[in-house]
Amino acid sequence: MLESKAVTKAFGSKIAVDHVDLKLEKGHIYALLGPNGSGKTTWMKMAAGLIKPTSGRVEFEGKPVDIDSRRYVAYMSTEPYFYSWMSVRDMGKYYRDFFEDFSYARYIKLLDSMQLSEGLKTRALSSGMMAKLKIAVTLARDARVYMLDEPFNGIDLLARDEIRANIIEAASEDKLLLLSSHLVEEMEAIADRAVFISEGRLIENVDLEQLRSERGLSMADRYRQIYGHAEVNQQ
Amino acid sequence: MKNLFKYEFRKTLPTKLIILGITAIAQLVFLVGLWQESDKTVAIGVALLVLIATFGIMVIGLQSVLTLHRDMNTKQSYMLFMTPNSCYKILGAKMLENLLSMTIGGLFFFGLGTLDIALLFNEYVRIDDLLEGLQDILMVFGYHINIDAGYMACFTFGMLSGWFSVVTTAFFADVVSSALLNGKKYNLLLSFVFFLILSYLVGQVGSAIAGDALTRTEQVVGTTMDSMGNVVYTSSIETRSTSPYYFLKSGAVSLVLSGLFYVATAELMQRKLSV
Repeated sequence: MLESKAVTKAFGSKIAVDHVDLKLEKGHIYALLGPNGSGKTTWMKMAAGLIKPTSGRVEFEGKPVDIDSRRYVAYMSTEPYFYSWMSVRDMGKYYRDFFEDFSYARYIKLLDSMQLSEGLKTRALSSGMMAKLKIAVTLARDARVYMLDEPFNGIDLLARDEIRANIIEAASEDKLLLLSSHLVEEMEAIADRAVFISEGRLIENVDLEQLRSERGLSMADRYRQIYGHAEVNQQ
Repeated sequence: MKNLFKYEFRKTLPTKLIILGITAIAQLVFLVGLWQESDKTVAIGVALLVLIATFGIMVIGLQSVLTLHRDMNTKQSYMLFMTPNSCYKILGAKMLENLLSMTIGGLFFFGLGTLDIALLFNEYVRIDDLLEGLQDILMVFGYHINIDAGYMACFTFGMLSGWFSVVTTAFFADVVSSALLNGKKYNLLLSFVFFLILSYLVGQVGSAIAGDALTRTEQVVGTTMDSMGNVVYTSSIETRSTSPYYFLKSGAVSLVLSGLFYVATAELMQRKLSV
């Protein structure tokens, strides 16, 4: 459904993503894992069509990501990106105006579940409330691909439970979900596959059930195996 | 496109409301001056209104360049570039909104000016009379221009199109800066220098096609002769005039150049811009 073919992205002399070949299929929830600066966000932005790769390409259903793929790919950035003059209600209207798959009724339902008031101005939102709003506008779309960058950042435990339930509700056989997070244990309860990335390179795209049954490892164990040594060295 | 246009208008609305607010204050000063028959207050009101009318349109243009810059260089860019709209549509909405805002602004200030002059003379002033008065004033400075409604329409078209081409040139320079020079040292300075060079070139192309704005002619106003009847001294004055066709031509050239800049800018955004 979403395929990265030898994708490289360089910012000047720094290579953020280095020849990444990755195939993501529908019907799965992928956890995109890696330490800070490993290239997760850059890769997601390229898949969302916001950043142009230096070389290689990302394809959605066999075609390079472009304007048309944005109709089917819902991307949630880790940074707040809303217009400061907008209210929570305006955000829903904005998404309704631009995305045919956006359901305002579902948006209201998501806002209620996360106790966000429609009248609030986005500039007045705390970081936690902002994170909830990002989740609400993204999951109110009936997209084929959801890419959520750090969806649990700055969110309290109870709201996190709510968001986790909403993410699981959005998943189905014909959809693909890709979530990045530092909260590895949190992701273990949601994802069925994990993509490990380090220093811009793909390390492994693994089925978590297989990982557990064949290698006796949890996602967190594998994470420690891959990155633990490097982190010790860095210290 | 309709939705893009709607949100572009909404983004620039605060600036327009500020211009409108300052205009309202200046108009109030003018009206209070008239009511109190205070020449000084009237003069302050008129001066403020002339200033706002002149700079208001410029500010609307500059605001649109700043909005484009913000839409490419802050995280707010996702709001635009995440939507399934091509860069041609995104930029087209911005340019259309700007052109319409400047045109409506120009018409608004022209209407307000006519109304205020009518109030100032305490009688109904026909547009023809107003233009005739303007023509007399210009003649004092050596400009022999036959100003009528047609001339004014051509002049307004030429001026607005000219300013619009400046704005589209700035759009292009800003996109070059954001798409090709992003993260480079002296990025903003380089793009400003690039804008100045482009503006100069646009001016040169405009002059080459539309010709000079002023036509200068020498008019003999008197001669001095000697006793034999030979002319020993001729006094003449230089008269300057501008044809309405000049404004039509230069306006058309500006619009064509703006169209070319639109295509070049949108294509560059489509191919190279990362937000």
